[in-house]
Amino acid sequence: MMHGSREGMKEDSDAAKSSFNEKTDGMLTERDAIRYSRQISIPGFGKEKQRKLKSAKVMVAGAGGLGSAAALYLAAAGIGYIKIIDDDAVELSNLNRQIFYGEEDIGKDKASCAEKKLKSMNADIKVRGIKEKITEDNAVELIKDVDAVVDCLDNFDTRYIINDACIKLGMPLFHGACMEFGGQAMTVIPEETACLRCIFPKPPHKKVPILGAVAGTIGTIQATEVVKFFAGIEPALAGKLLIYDGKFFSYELIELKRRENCPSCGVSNED
Amino acid sequence: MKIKVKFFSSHREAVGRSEINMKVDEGMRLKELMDMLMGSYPKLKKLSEYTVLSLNHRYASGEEILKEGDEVAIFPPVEGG
Repeated sequence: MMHGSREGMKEDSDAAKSSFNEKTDGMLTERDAIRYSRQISIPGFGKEKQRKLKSAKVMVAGAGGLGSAAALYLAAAGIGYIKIIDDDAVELSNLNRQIFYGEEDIGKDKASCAEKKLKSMNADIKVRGIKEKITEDNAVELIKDVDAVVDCLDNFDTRYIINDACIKLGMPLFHGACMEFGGQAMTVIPEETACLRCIFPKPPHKKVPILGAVAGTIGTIQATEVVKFFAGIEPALAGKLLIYDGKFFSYELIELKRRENCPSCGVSNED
Repeated sequence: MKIKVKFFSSHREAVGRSEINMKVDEGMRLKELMDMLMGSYPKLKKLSEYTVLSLNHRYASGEEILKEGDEVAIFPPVEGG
């Protein structure tokens, strides 16, 4: 248990000085090397993978329970640009799970609160909060300047819109959802893996209660997948659905297949 | 022939068990097994519209024909965030 020791700090500092020099776009700075040293030193991770995270641009769709957890860990991991979108204001009933916010934020726009929180966590990355409702008309426009989308939404109608926009642009989509004590996560790689409409042709349409820590579990699973994807480590949930049951602590990992007649990614839709 | 059926989340609550070992007829389709289970567990029937199936850890449509030793998983799609 030497994590907080002076020896550990010296190691961090030495590692930083070893090869990272000046602040250059897309390159790691000395500060980056110190800040991310605990993940850079993971065997097989290294400085090059950290540089890839710095170059990555990600949109987090939804700044609720999933979005709070996912975005905070993406910011902490050093994803270079995070765009977070939500059109709601903070309510008291959000605070059991939406760890972006405190009591002082009630009534304020989630997007601006989330932006402020992420910037305060990591001033070395770019963050943009957008207060806007995702619709069929604006979805492609909203996501076309990023490299991947994290689905932290709270309804399937909007999930389908984002799914379709990602399929159209060939953009990876990292899906998560939760309910009560459980949740699910899957990673969609267009033209390679099943999309949301392949697996969930009908929306559940149930207003659901959620234990906050479960939203955190699923959100951090999504963040892990995003970081691995940009670091060039195969996302384990590509083409798979993870089912998590936090009440009994059981997991199931299911292999998925694309649906030929899927209205979004099916081969019958291709021109 | 023997098969195993596993239940998750609300479906586990509806059945009151995490898994059941069953004997079923040769040639039975997965959707026929679901009909049988819903007959035995009325609470499961209420969830039928919100049910996702897998067979041997692969997503399943219900049309699949069951075989000896198969493992079926039954779970709900979830929406919240």
